[in-house]
Amino acid sequence: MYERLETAENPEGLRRVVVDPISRVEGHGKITLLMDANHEVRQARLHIVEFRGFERFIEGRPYWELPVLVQRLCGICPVSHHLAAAKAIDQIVGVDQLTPSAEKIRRLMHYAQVLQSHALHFFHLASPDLLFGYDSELGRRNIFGVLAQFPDIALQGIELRKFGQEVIRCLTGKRIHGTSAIPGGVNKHLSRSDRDHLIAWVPSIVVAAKKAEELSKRLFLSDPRHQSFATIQSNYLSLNREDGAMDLYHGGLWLKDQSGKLLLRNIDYRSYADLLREEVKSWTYMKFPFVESMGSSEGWYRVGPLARLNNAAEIDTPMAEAARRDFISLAGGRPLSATLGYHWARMIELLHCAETVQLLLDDEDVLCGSLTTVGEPRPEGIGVIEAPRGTLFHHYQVDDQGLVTRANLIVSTTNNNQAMNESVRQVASCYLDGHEPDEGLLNHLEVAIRAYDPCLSCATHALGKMPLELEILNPNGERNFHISRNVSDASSSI
Amino acid sequence: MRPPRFERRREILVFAVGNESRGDDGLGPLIKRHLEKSLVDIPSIDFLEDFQFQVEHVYDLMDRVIVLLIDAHLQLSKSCRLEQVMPIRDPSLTTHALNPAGLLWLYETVVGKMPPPTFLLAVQGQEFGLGSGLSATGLQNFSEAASWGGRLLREPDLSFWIREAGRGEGGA
Repeated sequence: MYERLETAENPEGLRRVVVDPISRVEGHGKITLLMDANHEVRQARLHIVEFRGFERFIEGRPYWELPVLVQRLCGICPVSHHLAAAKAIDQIVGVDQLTPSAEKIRRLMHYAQVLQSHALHFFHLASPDLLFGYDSELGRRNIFGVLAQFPDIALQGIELRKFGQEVIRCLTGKRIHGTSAIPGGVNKHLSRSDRDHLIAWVPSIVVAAKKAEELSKRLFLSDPRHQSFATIQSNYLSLNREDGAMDLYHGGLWLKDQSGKLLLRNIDYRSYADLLREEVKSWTYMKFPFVESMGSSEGWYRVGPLARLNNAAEIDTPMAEAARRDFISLAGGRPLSATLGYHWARMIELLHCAETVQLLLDDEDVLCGSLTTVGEPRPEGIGVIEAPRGTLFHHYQVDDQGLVTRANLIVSTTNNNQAMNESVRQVASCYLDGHEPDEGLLNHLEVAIRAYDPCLSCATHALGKMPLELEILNPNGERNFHISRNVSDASSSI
Repeated sequence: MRPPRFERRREILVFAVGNESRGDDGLGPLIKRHLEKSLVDIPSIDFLEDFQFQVEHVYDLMDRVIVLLIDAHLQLSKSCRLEQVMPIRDPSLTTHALNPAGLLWLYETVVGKMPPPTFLLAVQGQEFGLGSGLSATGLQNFSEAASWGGRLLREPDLSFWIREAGRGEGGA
């Protein structure tokens, strides 16, 4: 739809506008625009500037290290990588079905992590734009503004995150980078005392999650602009159960197009390599996955909460299911394509996670029962899971010694790469065309990116030292305009 | 009635931050574990460790009488320093490495009341490289800081801690 803005014809002579870094996202990225003399946008790109290299440096490592190693990909969603790798390793050790206890413990860990990740994103990263408006005063449109005006909302977010982290700590030993999943199972049960502590706490978490869902719905519906802002038409990919119900831990691949037509139904994700291709472009380190049979122009898709809500036939917890029906009723039977709908979808998932954690804590299988299964070794394993940000693929091949010979990871945010670029181009077309870009307008671009809750990883920035600087250079490379933004004084200077 | 999430909570919190994979940055967690073993006869202490201060640690501070934070430091002139931490609005809140004063400010802002009296035991480190162990300096300072921490926790009286903090750097 906006592919014409990927590469400008005759970029010489165009003015370059850069947003670097993108603020209030996890990790580092930048947006560049090329604009002509009439302030028309001729090119808009989202660049991911980080290179992690995990797929190369885990080659040669023994497979049993992988669930621990790959957690270091991220400090926000390490459990997702831990479990995706564990699911792949299960296959390598010949296990296709875990014991009930092992699967429920993994599910408990996973749903707690999605809960805390979603809470962090909504309350601390996205909420300033939604509560105050995309182009509201810069001095207020940040977490300090939320704390000043809505401290109760901030505290709610903190408690939700705390609870999720506490569940993870009880299961893995640490809030971040703990261990639980092992080949063919898990290494311990939840202790009865920890379970009793958490199960007494969880009812208030479900209440808080419901309030968060209601808030996000109210904010989404409060402004008609939200329905069209950054909105693009796309396919939607997710895991679902065989009956089409949402399942964040395991399922088959489902793909719907923008009209809601089912293109793929419950495909075994171990055949993902026959289905998907990844395109590389020179101007970003992040690849562009697409469905090969549809081609790169038509075969890209969105993943994550919006895709999962659009694809799910049902959510198997009652309050979240009621919210899902509300959500899908908006689009009259078609998938909801509004990009800002991600925020509401994310909170519906948060509610689902809270309800699911409550059910699992009440299940004796997490306290006792066999934890591991064995099988015949295999040379390859593929693990796919619905991480907070979308479908996550881990694929490993090993030699006779169990050492990794090849690894391929398609990280959730990578799946959304083309979609994020399209959303940036939509916003650039609708809001920036014909206007001199100021901070408020440029924040519109960031709002589009934030909706996807991208995890761009956070390996390289200097802690606490992240000024935002905007320079406009003329075709001769001379600076025409300069504006900087520092969070500590929350003001801009020219 | 205490809310369910605080049912197991004790009056004193010892909270250490640091990354053991980074040399002397692991001093905080190591001291915390030493204190946990050596003070097993004191039932009123909760021990906590994490890589960094995060927003959810607001909850860990609730319902406490006194808090001791332990963290490695780059630029002390002596082995360790005890200081009382006061809430200060700080941009570190917007990063994934909140500092103690910012954490207390966040507590005050969202909870609506002053945080419990909180003290930071900062321990001088020398080597912070990835994969390195404790340096000789770190090992020496570990002993002094652990000793000081033990004395504080055996007398968890606010006026005593304030006097100790007034001694500045040192600890012996």
